[in-house]
Amino acid sequence: MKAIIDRNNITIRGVGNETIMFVHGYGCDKSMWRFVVPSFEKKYKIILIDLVGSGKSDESAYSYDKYSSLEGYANDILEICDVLKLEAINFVGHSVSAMIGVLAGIKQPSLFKKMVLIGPSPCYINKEEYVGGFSSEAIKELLDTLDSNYLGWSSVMAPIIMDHPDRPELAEELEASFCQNNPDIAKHFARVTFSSDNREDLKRLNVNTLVVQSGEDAIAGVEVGKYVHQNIKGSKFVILDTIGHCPHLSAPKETITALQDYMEEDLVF
Amino acid sequence: MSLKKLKEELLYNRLDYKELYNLSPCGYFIATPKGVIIEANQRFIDFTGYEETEVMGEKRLIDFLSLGNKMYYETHFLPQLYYKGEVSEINFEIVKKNNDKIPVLVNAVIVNDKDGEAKFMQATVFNISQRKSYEKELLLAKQKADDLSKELLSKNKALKSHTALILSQKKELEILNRHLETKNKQLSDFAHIVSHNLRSPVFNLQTLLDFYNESVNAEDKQEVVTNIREVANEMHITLNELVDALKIQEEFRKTEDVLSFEAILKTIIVMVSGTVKATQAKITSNFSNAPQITYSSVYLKSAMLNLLTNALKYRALERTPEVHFSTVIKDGCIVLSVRDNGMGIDMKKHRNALFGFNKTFHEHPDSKGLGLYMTRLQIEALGGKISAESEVGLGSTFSIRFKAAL
Repeated sequence: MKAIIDRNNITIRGVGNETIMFVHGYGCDKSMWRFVVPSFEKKYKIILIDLVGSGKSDESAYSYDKYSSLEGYANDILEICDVLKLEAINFVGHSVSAMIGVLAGIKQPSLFKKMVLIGPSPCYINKEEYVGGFSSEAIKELLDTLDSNYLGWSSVMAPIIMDHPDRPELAEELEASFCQNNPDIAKHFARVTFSSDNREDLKRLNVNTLVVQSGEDAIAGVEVGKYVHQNIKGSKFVILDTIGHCPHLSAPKETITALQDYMEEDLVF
Repeated sequence: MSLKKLKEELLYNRLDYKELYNLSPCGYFIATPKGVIIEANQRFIDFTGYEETEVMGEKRLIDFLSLGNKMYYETHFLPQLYYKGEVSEINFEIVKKNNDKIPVLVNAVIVNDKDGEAKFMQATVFNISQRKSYEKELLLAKQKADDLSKELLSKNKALKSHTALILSQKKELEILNRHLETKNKQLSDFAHIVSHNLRSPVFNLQTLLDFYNESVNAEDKQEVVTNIREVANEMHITLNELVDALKIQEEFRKTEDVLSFEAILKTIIVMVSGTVKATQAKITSNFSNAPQITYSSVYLKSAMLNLLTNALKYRALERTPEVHFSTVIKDGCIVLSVRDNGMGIDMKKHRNALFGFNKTFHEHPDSKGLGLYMTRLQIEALGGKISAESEVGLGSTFSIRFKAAL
């Protein structure tokens, strides 16, 4: 169990009979939930994880083979639930982790009570009729952009993150490491994320699902959100009056309300 | 010029802060918390190539970015800005209205109101065209260095695997060499066995021929002829065995069969039948404790033949020779003993040299000193041991302790 907790840098907090697991999207780590979590930790047990290769997960656990598809991450989610003996969880996945949640939900639907997908996209690249919003050249461009913005990671952050994981006085500096992931892994993860195509999987999901769509989102636009909603049986759909791909950061209040409305629908306290 | 004078001059030239703001060498804009640009200096407007009215209240920074940059903007730039309230030194490319691109470095902060709510987003934008082309060269050089390093690593790996290959070949050669040495030794053993094992029957044939010549009645002669035929047969069999062993080309001493001591004894008695007859030797046996053994037929026969011929050769002339073969099991090993009532050996004198090469302990004319040495070599080659007990004038007992394989 400790191995898994370390691997995914898992934190467990909050009190409640029900569990919410928050999983961050590409480019970030679990700290991106910090504006949202306080509103839930009095009623729920909160599980926060870093995907392997992101944040302060165990980088040595990153296998280029295992994580060459989202399946590898989905298996990690199931493994975490198994090890922590979690049942009927509420899963909140942002961006790529929305799709990771869908894959996990297909494999073991009984594990999930509800699923909230924030800014999901089953396929980022335009394909025939389908408009994902990007071309493969755009992905190449993203990788170049990553390349030209690594300075912060390699020279400043790496020594802090690597050398003093246990010194609390560095906590503040560590916080500055937000969204600073190992460049090689970040590039691999970017390639895997943005070239994945999970459109067919949406139809196979049998879990109560809410799709949370940001009003304007350059990564996963409203049409893509609608596509996800229309392809997941019985799913609900809400468009927030927000801008940007990370409404839980740019507009935490709206995001919290949407989550609460959905999760408390049939919850008796 | 004093600072005061300079400022007066600024005023005189109508260079106010507004102009300073517009003409400063970096782009500057203010946006709503949602990112819509509501104020920008002329420098920034110039960067975009759009008209002021096309930008103000209309565009966000992301609108000037390429698709790949947009992805980065959404997954890195904005999350950091909202999370920490600021983000710095992010490298984007602004796509101008005419599709030209200029590389820029963006610093941005969120400005909060008194209640801590986000009021504005402010950003400065630097043109880094020259620096960028230099950086691109650096990146290319780094890429090259990385490639070279990878190539070195793979070459190193190849070298290592070559070394491993050479080592394993060396090992194979060593094994082959050992194999050849063994083969060589086997061949020399073989030559010894051939010469030695054929000596007894040849000597036997001579003895039988003497009998034949000395015999007067036809019945005796007939019996001797029968004996000669038997010896010849046995010689034939022995020769065939040796030839077969050579043919098989494998370690013939390791070709083991289940052998009956009784049967082997019978064949070797035939091989020395002439001597037995001449000496009227009494050969007895008791193999009831261990009637069989899994062993090389050539070697067992050779060993037993040697011990029997020795016993007969070094018999005490004053009494009828008696040779007794027996087996027991001791500590899980079969022990074959050959006891005679011959002249005996002075063990005090000869114990250490008994089984040595070309050693003789008797004043016997036929003594070549090779038999015991060879028997020892053969027995030891198969993991066994040979030992002797003897008293001069009473007789000797030779014991072969075979390796523990029952």
